[in-house]
Amino acid sequence: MKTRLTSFDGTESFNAECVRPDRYSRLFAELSSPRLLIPRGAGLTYCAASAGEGVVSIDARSFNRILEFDPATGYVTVEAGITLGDLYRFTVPRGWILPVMPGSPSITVGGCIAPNIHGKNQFKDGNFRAVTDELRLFHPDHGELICSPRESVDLFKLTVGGYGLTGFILSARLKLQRLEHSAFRLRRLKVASLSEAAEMMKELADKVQVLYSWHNLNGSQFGRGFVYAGDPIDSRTNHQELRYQELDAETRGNWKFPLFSRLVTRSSMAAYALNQRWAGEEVTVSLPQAFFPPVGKEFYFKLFGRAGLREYQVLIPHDQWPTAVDQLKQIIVSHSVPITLASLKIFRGRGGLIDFEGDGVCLTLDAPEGQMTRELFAHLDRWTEDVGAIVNISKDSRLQSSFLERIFPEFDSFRQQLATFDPKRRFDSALRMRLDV
Amino acid sequence: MSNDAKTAVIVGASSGVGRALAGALAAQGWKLVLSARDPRDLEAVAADLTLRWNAECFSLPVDLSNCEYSGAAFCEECVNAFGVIDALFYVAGAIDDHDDGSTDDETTRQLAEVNYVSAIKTLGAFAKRFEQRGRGTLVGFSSIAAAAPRRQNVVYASAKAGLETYLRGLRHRFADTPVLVQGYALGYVDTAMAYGKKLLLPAVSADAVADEVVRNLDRDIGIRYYPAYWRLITLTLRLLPWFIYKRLRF
Repeated sequence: MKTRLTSFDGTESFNAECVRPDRYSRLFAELSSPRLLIPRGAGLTYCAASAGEGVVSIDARSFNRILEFDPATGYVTVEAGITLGDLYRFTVPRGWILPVMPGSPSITVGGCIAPNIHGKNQFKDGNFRAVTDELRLFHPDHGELICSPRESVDLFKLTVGGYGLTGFILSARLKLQRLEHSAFRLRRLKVASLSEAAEMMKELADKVQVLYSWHNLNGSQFGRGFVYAGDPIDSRTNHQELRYQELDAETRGNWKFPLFSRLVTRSSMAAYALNQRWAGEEVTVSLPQAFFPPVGKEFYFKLFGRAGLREYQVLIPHDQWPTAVDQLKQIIVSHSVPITLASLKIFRGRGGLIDFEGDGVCLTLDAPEGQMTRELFAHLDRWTEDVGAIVNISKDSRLQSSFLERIFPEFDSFRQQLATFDPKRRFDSALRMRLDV
Repeated sequence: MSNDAKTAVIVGASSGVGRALAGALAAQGWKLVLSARDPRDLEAVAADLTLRWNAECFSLPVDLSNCEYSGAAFCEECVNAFGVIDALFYVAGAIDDHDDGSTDDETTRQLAEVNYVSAIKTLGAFAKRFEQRGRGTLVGFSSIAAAAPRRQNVVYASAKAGLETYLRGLRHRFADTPVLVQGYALGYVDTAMAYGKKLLLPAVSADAVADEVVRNLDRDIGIRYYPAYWRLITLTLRLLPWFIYKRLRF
């Protein structure tokens, strides 16, 4: 089907072809086509990782079956088109949970593997690679391949975080975590600054299961916010049923005009802060609320209108954080861009290649698309480089290879490994073209 | 799983409406014989239903486009798998992008086999079995294209019209007996057949079709249009004078 595909942030769109095979014979026929291909899940990656001009996007969502499950060990094998919401509905009643999940239940497992996403507490649970035990991959020039942390390790590392460029994931074996509770006690801890939040979160990181913060970076309230720390509890009043509205890039941009102006952003941030303060310091939340906090707030993405949003997600090493956070305030104040979301998480580990993984503080910023935002983000790029940070490639449609080569020591290694594995560039996307890999 | 769980045979269970129907029946505790061409798809569907619903599934790959396909032999294999069969759903269908009514012999034959010949072979074999047993439900799936054929999918539409006529005849034969014969003339459904096509009306999900079929299982509904508004639309189309009908692009 010839169609126009849009990145989730709404800033890129392409004349592309999308196919939706619903059985293996059709899938392999599509994958054997000489055309440029890219697997596609729900299309919820902020940048255009599953689409591109002249590229055939293969919608994987018909391949959403659960193939194996061991209730004793918690290993589950699924086709990569299964959504996290669907998987949640299967595992939770059986006493297991996938510990690393992004906020939207509409995202597919393939969509988690491709950017090697992180969840609610990366410090404790790692990125998605940490829960991926084995992958079955298909590449038209290599056939079916199995890779895991034990077998074809380089291909495994290249695929988890490889943005779908190594082939179509037929199935993934995932390691679930035992679910021994039925709800979360979410503490809402008031903080006066980003620094205070980071210090508090470093203390809490290995003690709680859910940990993130929210901050108002607009106006005189700069940095004020809340740290959310969730501990599992048993609750009689909990409900585990997950209900959500499907999210996709096309309906995200349904509203023509953006509603976030500086005034609206300031007022809504102030109102949200007030609401959180009144809501008290502690609340019991259901499992779906804890694992998928954005559910029920999907309208947030629509408020950016057709023009879309920009997200900047950066991982700042701990030793650079104090300097970085001071500079950050100056940069943001100097640009007068409405910041519609600011949040921190604590990270650890070492990813390699182009993974968004490491020891440090993760900062996420959202702003409406526009010239001023692009100028702010360009300024943030220089700041990122100065403080030795890395950015999340999946979140930002602006990022260019020249910048990424400087901040990711293994960027060139990623490029070379990909060229060695897929020299004919059978798999391609707007992201690959932009990154020049 | 209780021992008195009902058993269904779904022909065309690997994708679309057939797969959705398999899920809906598994959720209600039915035992299932799942049939389609590709064993790999069938294994995946069977594994999924077994894990999600603890459904007892038996996979039976079959090539319905093969002119040597035997409905009786297929029926025998199904009975051997579970002993008693309570319902047959023939959901399988095939279309061809070049089906303008003058396709090559082989394509025409395959379209006719899958959409009509193998369908009536299968329904006929199970009809005999259900008659002997004194009960059972036979369900066939037609299309709105049967009532309102157009320049595309000509062989497909004629085969579906034949199937619909066959189902009407079979229903008449089993009138006032516990054997039920049902048919669904489906409108636009969000499956591979409709994907990417410009449609006049929104496509319903395969799950919605499956829910409707399961809801009506014990009712003598005859041939039912789904969604129901298609009955009115196709009736209107049939009443249109030719000089208008021939100009329609739908």
